[in-house]
Amino acid sequence: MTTLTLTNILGAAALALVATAVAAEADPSPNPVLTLRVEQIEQAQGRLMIAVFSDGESWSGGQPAFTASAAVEGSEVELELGAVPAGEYGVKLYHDVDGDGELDTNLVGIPTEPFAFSNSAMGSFGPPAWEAAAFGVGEDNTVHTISFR
Amino acid sequence: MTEMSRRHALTLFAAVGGAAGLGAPVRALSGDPIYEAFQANARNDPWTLGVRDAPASGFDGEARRLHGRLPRGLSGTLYRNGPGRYSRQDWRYRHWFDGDGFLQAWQLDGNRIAHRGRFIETSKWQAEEAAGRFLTPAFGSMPPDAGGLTGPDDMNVANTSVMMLNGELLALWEGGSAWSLDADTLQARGPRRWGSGLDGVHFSAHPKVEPETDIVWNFGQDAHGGRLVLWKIGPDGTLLDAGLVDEIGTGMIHDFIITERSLVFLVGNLHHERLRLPFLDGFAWRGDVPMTAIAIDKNDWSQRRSWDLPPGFLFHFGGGWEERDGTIRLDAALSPNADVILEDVRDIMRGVPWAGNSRMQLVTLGARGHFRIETPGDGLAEFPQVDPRYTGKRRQYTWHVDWTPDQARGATAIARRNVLTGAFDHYDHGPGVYVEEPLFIPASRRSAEGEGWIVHTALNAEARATELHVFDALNLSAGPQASWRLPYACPFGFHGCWRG
Repeated sequence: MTTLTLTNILGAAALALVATAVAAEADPSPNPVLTLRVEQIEQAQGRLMIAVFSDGESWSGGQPAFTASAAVEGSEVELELGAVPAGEYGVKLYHDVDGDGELDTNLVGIPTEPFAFSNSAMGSFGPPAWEAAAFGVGEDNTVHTISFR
Repeated sequence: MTEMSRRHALTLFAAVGGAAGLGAPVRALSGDPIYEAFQANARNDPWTLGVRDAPASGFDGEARRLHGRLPRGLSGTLYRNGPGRYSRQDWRYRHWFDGDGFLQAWQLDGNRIAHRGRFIETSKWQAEEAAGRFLTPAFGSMPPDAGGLTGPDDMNVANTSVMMLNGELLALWEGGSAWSLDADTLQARGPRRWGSGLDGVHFSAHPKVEPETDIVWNFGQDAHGGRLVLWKIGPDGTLLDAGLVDEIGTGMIHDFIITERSLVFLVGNLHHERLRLPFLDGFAWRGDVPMTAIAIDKNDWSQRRSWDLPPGFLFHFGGGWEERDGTIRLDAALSPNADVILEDVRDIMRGVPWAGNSRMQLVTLGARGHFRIETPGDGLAEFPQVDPRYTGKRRQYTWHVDWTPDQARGATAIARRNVLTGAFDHYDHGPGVYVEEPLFIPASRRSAEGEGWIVHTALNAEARATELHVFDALNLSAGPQASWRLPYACPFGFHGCWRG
């Protein structure tokens, strides 16, 4: 019995980056536009804090390719992340319910604010594997949906 | 597990197609060998009624009086908690402790006993009821296609114990939150919130109440971090203090004792070694290191004393106290190894009985760092209980279930041992009546230690029904003063509490 410590579940360092806006610069090239759709948000307040990774190495403790955030005003958020090169991406996000810019954790370090990953994949003692969370962006504009359970 | 029951297990196991897949996640497509083994054993052994799935809608019934009358003054509700759901879609958990919490309320009223059983509507229970299958990893099992976890309460089964706190009923687990219930309707309100930063923090299943103050002490174990969470809660249910204590070690801790000055832990030799799922698989026996006893100062959690003891494992203490010179005396149901949690309770899931190997032992933790361990009797023992008015104080009595190693299906007797004199009082219901935790209920607030009743439930395998027996707590050998029987058999529970 005892404990399940979800150590560093989101790779907290990466998400501590307080993103202000879409980090990908407006790009005149024909890169596809990646839009994130987030569903089943329980509380209509605070912000979604989003980190986007473009390879498995950075996913496992490295820096995100870019970050973003969006205000939460209902149970769903749709956010255009901008034009990105075709390729594989993975998203880590949390709902900063109290808007303090941090992923709140309890006394033993377990997150107490909702979090989710691309493909709505789930980990157990940390983020899911890159293979479970990675999704492809091809030549067309892409909407990727993530659901809080 | 004794050699006899191990052979028995292997024989039964061979009969249902061999050991393939034991303990590993198995897709139900090809037939789950554990589920099938249980079905086969359940056909022949009515003891398995105690580890069968309870109906999802629970139980509502009235017990029939077999003999005797309820003693005057014994009026209230016995709540008992334990695992009640082990299988979905013909796939069965591998470990007894995985089952969803099933709460029973035995209402003793005049000369009637009404009984209700309800599953505790945890988040896990609700999600899995809706899905019709197991969705999350369990303590000792990985169901097929189990998902991930966002935190321990995702897999919280609230199945271990139950307590009353200022009119609120709390169903207790140990890997996450206590689950708050309405004590009358048994409906779940959700995980108990204690305050900022404490959501989902481990809250163990054996809180202790200081008799003079009604202050509740508890702990939670972060075995991976080798640390404890300590909880101090007021009688009105408000948090007085909570904090971390580091460098406790990684041995599994299920219970503790309080004394007037200290919080005392035995850190046994089943050590957490790595984070993995199922969670229990991250533990391993380490016989090369001592079991440690740690006494933490109630008033200053940074102050501690410790003792190195021979290797061991335990779930439960009777009680303990501290003498003026700092010597701590305690009794506990100690085992020489962790077979019970690593092997025996897995056997139960196949419908194979277990013998167990825990004995009541008296441990003296000397003021100058020495220790003494005595084993006062021959019998096996579990589920020790004390008069709650003597929690943390020098006292005489421990009640427990009692059996011998040749009783492969476990205890049929209850016993009272005087920890000061060694005197022993005992009643054996005889073959086929498998007894559960004997709970002591004082006759009155002012009565002397032990003056009151022992109430316990039992599975009568022959009658295929669960019974409730009431004893004069100071005269067990006279037999039950009154006995009652339900028209059905309930799953075995772990622990209970009394609401007078």
